[in-house]
Amino acid sequence: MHKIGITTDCVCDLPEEYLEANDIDTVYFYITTETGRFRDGYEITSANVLEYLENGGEKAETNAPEPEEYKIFFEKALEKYDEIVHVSVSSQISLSCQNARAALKLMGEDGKKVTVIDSEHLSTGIGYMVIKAVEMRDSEKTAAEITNAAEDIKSKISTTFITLNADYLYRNGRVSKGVRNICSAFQLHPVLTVKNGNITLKAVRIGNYEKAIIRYVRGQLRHSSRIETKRLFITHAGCPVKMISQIKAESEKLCSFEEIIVTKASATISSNCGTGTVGVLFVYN
Amino acid sequence: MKLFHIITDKKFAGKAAWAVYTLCSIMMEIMAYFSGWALWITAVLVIHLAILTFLVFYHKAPIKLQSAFMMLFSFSNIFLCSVSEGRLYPSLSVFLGAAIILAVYRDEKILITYMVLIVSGIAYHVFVLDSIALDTSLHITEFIVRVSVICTAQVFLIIFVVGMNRYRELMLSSVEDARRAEQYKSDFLANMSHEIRTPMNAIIGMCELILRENDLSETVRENCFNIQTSGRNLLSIINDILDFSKIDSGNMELIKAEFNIASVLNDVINMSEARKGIKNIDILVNADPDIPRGLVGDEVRIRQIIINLMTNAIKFTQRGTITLTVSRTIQDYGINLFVSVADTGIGITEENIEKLFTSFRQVDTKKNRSVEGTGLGLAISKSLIANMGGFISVNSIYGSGTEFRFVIPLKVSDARPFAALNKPDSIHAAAYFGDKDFVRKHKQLYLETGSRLGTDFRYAEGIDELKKLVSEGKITHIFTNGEEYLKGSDTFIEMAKNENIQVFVIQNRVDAMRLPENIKSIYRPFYVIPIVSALNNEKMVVNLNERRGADIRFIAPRARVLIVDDNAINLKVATGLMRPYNMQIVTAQSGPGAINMLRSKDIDLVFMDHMMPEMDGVEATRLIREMEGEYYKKLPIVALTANAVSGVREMFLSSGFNDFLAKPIELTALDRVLRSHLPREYMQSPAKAYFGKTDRRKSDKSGGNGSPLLDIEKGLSYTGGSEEDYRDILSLYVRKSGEKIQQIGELFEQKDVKNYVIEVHALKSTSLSIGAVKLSELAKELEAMGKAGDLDSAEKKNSELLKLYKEAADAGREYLGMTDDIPDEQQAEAESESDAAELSEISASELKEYIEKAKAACQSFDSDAAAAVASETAGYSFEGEPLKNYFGRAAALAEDFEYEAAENELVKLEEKANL
Repeated sequence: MHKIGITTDCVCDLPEEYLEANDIDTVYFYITTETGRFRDGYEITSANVLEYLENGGEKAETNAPEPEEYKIFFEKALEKYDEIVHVSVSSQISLSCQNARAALKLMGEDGKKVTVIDSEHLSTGIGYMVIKAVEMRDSEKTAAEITNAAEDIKSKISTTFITLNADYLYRNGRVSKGVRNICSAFQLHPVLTVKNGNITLKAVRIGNYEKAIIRYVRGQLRHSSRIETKRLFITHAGCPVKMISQIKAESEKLCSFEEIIVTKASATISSNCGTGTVGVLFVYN
Repeated sequence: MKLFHIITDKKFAGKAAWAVYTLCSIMMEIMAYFSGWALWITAVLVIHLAILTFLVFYHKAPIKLQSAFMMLFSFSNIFLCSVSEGRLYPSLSVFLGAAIILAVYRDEKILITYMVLIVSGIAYHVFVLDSIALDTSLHITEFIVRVSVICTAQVFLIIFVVGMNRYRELMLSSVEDARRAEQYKSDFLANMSHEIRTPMNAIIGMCELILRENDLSETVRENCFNIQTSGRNLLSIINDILDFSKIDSGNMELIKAEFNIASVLNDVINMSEARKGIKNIDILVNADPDIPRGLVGDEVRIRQIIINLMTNAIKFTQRGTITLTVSRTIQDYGINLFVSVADTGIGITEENIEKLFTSFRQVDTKKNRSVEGTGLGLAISKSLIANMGGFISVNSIYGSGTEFRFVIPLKVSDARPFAALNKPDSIHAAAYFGDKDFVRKHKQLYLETGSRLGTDFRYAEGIDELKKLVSEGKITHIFTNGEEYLKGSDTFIEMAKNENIQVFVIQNRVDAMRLPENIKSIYRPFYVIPIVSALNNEKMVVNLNERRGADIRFIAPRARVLIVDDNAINLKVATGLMRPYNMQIVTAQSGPGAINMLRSKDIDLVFMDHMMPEMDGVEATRLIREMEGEYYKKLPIVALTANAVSGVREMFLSSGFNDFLAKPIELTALDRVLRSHLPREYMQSPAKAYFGKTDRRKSDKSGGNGSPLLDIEKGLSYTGGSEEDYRDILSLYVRKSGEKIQQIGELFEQKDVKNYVIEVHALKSTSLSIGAVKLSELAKELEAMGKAGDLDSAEKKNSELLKLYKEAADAGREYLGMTDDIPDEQQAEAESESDAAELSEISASELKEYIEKAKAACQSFDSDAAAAVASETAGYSFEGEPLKNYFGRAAALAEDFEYEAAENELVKLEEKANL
């Protein structure tokens, strides 16, 4: 039987149990601090990197795997599968897609057995495409059909996040110092969205952060009739359990999802958006 | 509070004052333009502003200079405004601006003086210059409003500045109080540390010495072991508190040194196996053999973290498995050492995970009431890992189990794998662990280990499959567990008959079964180290905590070590702990004593106690370092102290010490220090030393290898294989035998039970130390009978004892090649006479010092110290009289527990020498 493997980047933020249960291999991203270089999710977690930065750590660079590492990763996966469909983080945000495609060239003939999809999303936005690919694989579709189905869903995914302030965006050069100061002084909480593969500012919420998050959730889920109710991801970086429960309750109130999955953002995502960041990610009909 | 910080930030204050000054200057320029002031005033204002701008924004300009110029120019502006502007009102804004500037610098007196100046200025305008029109009620109202505004602002500023200054003083005093309290806490911890650790040293050390004895009853051994275990537990709590204090004050010190992960794993696993006790827990170890052999980091702290995680896992797991995983990833700087401890315990809720690493906290306390601990372990581990540049994380499913992971970046000093097979290609191993569910993990670990070791590891799903593999003739090693071995022992015994196949049975250390000679045991956990040892045909790695020097990896018979401590018990403990290394140990009970002993320049290593009366260890070390000669500069001196709080290490290192050893002395720490500071050429493996000595045994030429009564090998084992030491002990034993036989016989006849018991007690241990086991056992029996007051029925046994004693002495005499039975004193005198010509004379003061030392040894019941003094003085004479006679006799008496008689011997010498 022709076996197709689904692989993805570790920043897809899908729960470990889901990845394990569905045989999805993930390739590690790296966080480089002043003291060392650590594999995201395995050696360093979201909580680790956030705490490190809050305690005065200055450097937390995120790096995608090198083409050589992707080559090893794909070759190992090809020992189990005949073909691979790899869903990568948006090429506008990270070098991972580019490196994965470069790895295919290094692999020669074997490279043709791997399809790399540019998800144009991040976090559980990629997760939705991976889930779609898994569903298609389980329906015994071909690699091309899986790729097409994943590509089709791409434009329907809503990937948005609200962040506590603009500190981490400033740290990563996404906003200027002035914008960061204004956000801090006036308690402005940026709402970011991934559009055409790029992170852009969608809105700004003002005032108490807990209330701002609830307003953000209401804003996101206001058109409930247009939202696919099969699944909702609540993905967060260092949010207290109590806050997550409130978001979950609010989401249930607004839209009757069959399943609400709470996931923790990877260290790579967390180091770019900061403590308290939370997103409700869903798919439009 | 935030406002306070902003205002007290001097840089911010400077910039705020500059902004106000600039506004005032611009206003004055406008006034100058419209009122037609002299042109030079405009120029002066511009120059002032330029100077201030430079001072405020040039980061190297001192703040004091900045504030001085700011005030000077503000007063200058007021002056210029006052003399140039006839009208009061336009000047008021300049006055107010200056007031704000002054307020920024928070000088109350200047601000009050300035207010007086403003009021005087207003009065001058009203009464002298008459520049204010107060003719109409509107003008009067305007005047009152304007003056009120400026005066109110002025008063407000004064109140604000006074308030802020008081608040600042209060804050500073609070900070000072907190700092002082912190210092008190550190002092308290230092004292508590010393006061608790010193007696703990004695308790744990003495237990260690007792446990090394052979003739202990099981009850005494068990009780003593329990005392030692409780002592260690108490010490670990004290250590936790001290560690936390160090972390809290930011003084945690990490010692980077080369280490091998194998030693860490061995210790962790042995400790965990011991700690799990009777709990139905299976400890699995998945260690990557490719972890480099030489890593650079703080081995002690890494071991502490893993032990802490393992201890937690054991505490919170009642049954199931605990899996310890240790692996590495290669990085540019070395490796990332990754450790995971996963259990199948009670798990932690999501809410509690958030609180997990908080100090003094054990989560879910209601459920864990039976679980002991300070609640500091995880907080300490987390801080240690952070200090090493690493991270710790936890994953848990409530009710199912918890996994702690940590990673530490480490440098590599030796990249070779820590566990490797000598001939991987010639090994074809097969394993069969049965078909129960729990063996799945064992099977997986076994196959992973084989793959990592790069050799042929197969797994048989049934005994028939195993037989088939064996019959194919390719299998060299077979592994099975105890249960499967019992089921098919005939099959395994048959397989082991094939000389090309080695069969290993994996067993628990505690209930290991006896196996046929050609089948070997491997103790659980079954992981890469015992597997590699077995496949390489090496001696199994044994429990490092086993007694009687099993953990001693080298001996150094040529090394001379000086231990300095004012406490005789501590000296005895340290000497006892170092004895297995078979070094020549000398002791001193004071700093000056140590300095004196070092004059001979034949000491290789010094252990110096920190706190001693008169001259402490730091002072003594300083004086040693100041002594003339390269020897004293290079002599390794190790601080020996119970004071283990933060900063002590640096203090010692900066005071001339080479290293630091905390009391109670841990064997692993002692081993590290000895390995680091003893000359390499002095170290030899215990086995090599032992057999080396055996080869050149004098007995081969003279007295043969003893008799059935005298087990020479056993006797040698008590001297670390040193035949020289053994012969010394045996010689003394033989010489004393005649006198003792007579004495024991007389005491028995006289029914002097008390003294009879003392004598046979002494005979029991001295006989054992020379290998006269049978005699020792008989003495033990008689001792017990004597204690029970049952000597009447012991006549036969006593005669047997005396007979055996004589025979043992004869055997010893034969071994030593002694021809005549010279009485002790006569022989000593004969020896001393022949040596007298070679002895060097000693002064009266030096003799006095030696006598005092020997007396102190006797008073503290320390026969070793008395023997050490005898050995030191053997080469000296006083007024032509060899000192060996006196000190030797005293040492011999002390050896027989006759400390009072030994002291009398010394008093005799003192009187004879008129000291």
